Amino acid sequence: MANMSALVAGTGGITLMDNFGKDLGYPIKMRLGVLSKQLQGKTPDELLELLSMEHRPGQIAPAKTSLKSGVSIRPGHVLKVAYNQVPSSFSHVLYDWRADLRYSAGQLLDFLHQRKPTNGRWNLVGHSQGALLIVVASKLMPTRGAFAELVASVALVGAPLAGTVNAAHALLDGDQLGESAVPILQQVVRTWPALYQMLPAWRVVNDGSDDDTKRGGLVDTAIWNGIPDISADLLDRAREAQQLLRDPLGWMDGDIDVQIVLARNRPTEIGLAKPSGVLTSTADQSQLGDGLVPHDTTLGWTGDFVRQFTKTMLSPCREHAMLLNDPAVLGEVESGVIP
Amino acid sequence: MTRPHVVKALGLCITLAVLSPPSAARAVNAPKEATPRHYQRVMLLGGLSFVDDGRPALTVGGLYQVSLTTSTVTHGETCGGAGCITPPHLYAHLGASGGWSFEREDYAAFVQAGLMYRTGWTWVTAGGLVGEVAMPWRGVGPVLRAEIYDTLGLQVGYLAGFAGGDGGVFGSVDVLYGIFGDLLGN
Repeated sequence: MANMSALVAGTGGITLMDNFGKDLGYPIKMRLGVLSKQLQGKTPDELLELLSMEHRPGQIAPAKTSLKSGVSIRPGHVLKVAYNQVPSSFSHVLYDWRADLRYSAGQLLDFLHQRKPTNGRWNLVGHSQGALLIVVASKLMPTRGAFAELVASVALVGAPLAGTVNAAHALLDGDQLGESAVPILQQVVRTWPALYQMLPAWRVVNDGSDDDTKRGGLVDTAIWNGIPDISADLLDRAREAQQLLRDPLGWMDGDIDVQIVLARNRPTEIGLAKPSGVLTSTADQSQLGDGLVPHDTTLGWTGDFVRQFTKTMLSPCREHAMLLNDPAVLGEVESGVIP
Repeated sequence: MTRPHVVKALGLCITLAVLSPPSAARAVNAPKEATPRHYQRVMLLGGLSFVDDGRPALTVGGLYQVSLTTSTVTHGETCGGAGCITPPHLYAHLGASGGWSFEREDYAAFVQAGLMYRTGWTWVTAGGLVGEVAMPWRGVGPVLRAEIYDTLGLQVGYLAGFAGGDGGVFGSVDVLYGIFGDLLGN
């Protein structure tokens, strides 16, 4: 049998579904939001109960995927609106994009093992958080060469390998479900490990000094002083994830074709202001990227070895959430798929 | 991407070999240079089309777009090692759809060909001019097409009467077919 291809979609690119099979909806806002038609009808308290997760320190799997009694949440389906140009021959890897990256990466490995093509391997295309899962999955293998036994090629598209300021926006602001829901949504998203694990690895926060070297890192617990419900355990998980994402090709020994596709065509935030001792969601620096992943900062963090494998997409090219709808991005990705 | 490492053994400084730093020790396949290439786009659509009447034709169809030129590949400090890729703006556009006309109470079909310009913007992702033919022989003429978020197509134009047809003002809305699955939750 020939190789097979699989798409690992990004944050919010997969709907969430409850254990009764009821689709909780689709995120209209693909930034890192959760706005959906089905969720809009719920009161803030219902949202808090339904969408919050519970994790126990030292345990990667979620203790609860919903705090609502008798309800668990699982992934639903991949959104066509964001991935309609991906060929229908691609399998879809489903995961709960709120969960710990290591938990979701474990599920990705289960998928790859259980459905491995006979006499063939996988071509993996990961978008955004999906790309991070591919990297983390490789690091969960027992040896550096084991991933190559499963995987023939890897395309990491819009991968926030060094994180994204948008994760901080999501944690600080909650997201849009109406003004009245904002404090509740802040509480909800602060229970989601994946958001913490996509916080920037570089020093983002400007506390008023002109000296960029004195900027603070967002995985430092003290940076979040004064912001309620920020979890020290989930910040620990963020630091652990950043270790796994460092040297992202480090456990892809062997015969794997790798390409990394990053866009560099629209302003992308890289700094946040902390003007009066409390972290705010106000951006104070930007550079070119895809609107979520800053190009130069990401490549600077990952280093020269990773840079070799990177294609930089200039304009005209779609923004982060829709990268795989862009014919040029998909054309480049498909050029790396091994039949 | 390798660098020499020097080790000391028995008090002597010996250059053992050109060893690799941790990343370069691996054997992932060598990165491939980006090459100029054409790109294409295919979509299944559902839509409503109006020809000089408020009663629409309900259609399903598809579009195919292919870049007129290849991408440009450059290299520089701000590019990834495989290169900076500038995709083309101009695409040839072909579209066809068919369905039921509530105006004529008969089948209806639409065929179009033209040029689209991809903007790189977030919302208005492409715009262009296409020639439209409405069948059974109804009209032919120029139509402006805008694509919103690569998902929704809006068209307006004027079809001159053709082969006995009466033509008239033309408008249509088409939407990515797959979005119905997203909305319905499957």
